[in-house]
Amino acid sequence: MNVTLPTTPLGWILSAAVLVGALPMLVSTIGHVLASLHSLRDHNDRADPDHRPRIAVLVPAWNEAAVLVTSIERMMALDYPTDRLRLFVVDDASTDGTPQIVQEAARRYPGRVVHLRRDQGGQGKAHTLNHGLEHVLADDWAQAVLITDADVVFTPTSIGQLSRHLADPDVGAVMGFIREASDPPHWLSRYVGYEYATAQLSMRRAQNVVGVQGCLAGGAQLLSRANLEAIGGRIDTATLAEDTVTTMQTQIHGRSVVFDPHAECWAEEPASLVALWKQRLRWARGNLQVSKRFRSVFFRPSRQHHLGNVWFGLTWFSTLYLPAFMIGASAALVTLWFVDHGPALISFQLYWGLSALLFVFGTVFVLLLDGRIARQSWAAAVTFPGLLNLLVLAVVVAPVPMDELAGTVLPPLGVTWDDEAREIAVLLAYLWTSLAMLAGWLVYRLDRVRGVRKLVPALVVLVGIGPVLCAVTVAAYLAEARGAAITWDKTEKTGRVRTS
Amino acid sequence: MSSEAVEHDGAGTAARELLARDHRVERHLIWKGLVAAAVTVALALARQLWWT
Repeated sequence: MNVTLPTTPLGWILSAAVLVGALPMLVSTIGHVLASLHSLRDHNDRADPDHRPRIAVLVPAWNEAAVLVTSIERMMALDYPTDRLRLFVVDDASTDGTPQIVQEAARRYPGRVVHLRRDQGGQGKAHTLNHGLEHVLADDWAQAVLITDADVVFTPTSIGQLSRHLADPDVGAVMGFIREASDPPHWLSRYVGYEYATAQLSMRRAQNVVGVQGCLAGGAQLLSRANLEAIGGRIDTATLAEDTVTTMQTQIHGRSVVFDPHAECWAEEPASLVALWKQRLRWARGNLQVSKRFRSVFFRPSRQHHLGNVWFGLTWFSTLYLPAFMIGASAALVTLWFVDHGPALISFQLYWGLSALLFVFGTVFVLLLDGRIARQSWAAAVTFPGLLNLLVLAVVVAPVPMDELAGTVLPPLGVTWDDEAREIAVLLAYLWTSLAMLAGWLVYRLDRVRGVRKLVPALVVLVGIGPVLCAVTVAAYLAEARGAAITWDKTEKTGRVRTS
Repeated sequence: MSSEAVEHDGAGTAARELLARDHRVERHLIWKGLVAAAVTVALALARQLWWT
């Protein structure tokens, strides 16, 4: 096929718009490169392995009977001085067996497990945490507060691995790695496990390197008392992303946030696409709210913090506006197809060719980061963009063999593989970048229909979990645009988590 | 040395070894990045040499 450069200003503008679509992948790849340099800036040189502050563990619990027994027992068995760790379960007016479980634990571990109860519940995690914080900060026992979730199970050494960083008074908060650990693993948990490896093990290492973190892990964040008091002693209740607000406030007040990938804990993640959609919609809406609230800190240098770092800002906004990048690239390609045919093809090849190489680099690097995730989730990693996107990538990377393959496979199926068919295939590939998100939304809708639900895992493999997550972001834009109510939707958990 | 002190000293040694081990893991990441880069370059070369 012949390729030519754009011949008109519009052709150049549209070609540039296509290439801008690759920016999120490029920014993410820079993140992986930064992560590989983590040993240069991993804060271990300023950590004191013997530092053991008195820690109040806050566990918000709203009807968590299914998961609390395991997490409390594991917390009591941690490799941390027993006189320096107290567990406060903030029972958010639960109506199941939560109060009885916590009271029984308080009897078994006197002074180490405390049951706090709110009379009126259901307002959300932030309100529940604030009830606990009021109690914990009322006396001077606690030197640090660990905020976690009822279903999170900490590995024995993890609290010590977190607390060692608080020896540095410049550090306001430390977070650990939350490993997806649904037991038994299911098709969706494998995707989430791989996604967590990318977002946490790679991207948060990269953020350590540039000295700024975007979001504390909701289930594994250790905050120094000094930091908590500096940011007002309360957790934000005005947005759906209270962890992100805490992260921003900590850094704006001049303290750093550190990620320790070796401080590991296990958690169960949603088992259905509908549950995942609900959780991610809350996260995406929260991030939109936070972006609006803290818009003045991005891309602006400050002596207090590094939130203005250019790579960090690009990462933040390319994630937030990923659907816009994809739709923009797709729309530009389709327009080019009509107005400047040759440049459309070269832009398409550059965009997808670059995406293919960056996809390979990112996937190989992330799988190398964690052997357990690689063994369990390698297929999810490969199919993360979906088989249809992989087909487009394969056509761009290996055009001649793929053309020969199409010429062999399609005619017996009654499809003539000629130049006209090639043109139609190219146009469909141009459109697919946008259509994939629509397809992702349709798969989510199918997960709500009894009878066809069984097809959902296969359809996700075909369409890709990536496009589904992009569709969630679009849904978040729409929810924010129409001013949908800010309500807390709890993610249902079963309590079946691997603990080794 | 009291048993409590021995216990504390043992815990301290373990914590220091853990920190050293964790830092060692971080130093190996650069090799993982290089392996990923090598695979990517190999793919790009294969495309240019044989598949176009």
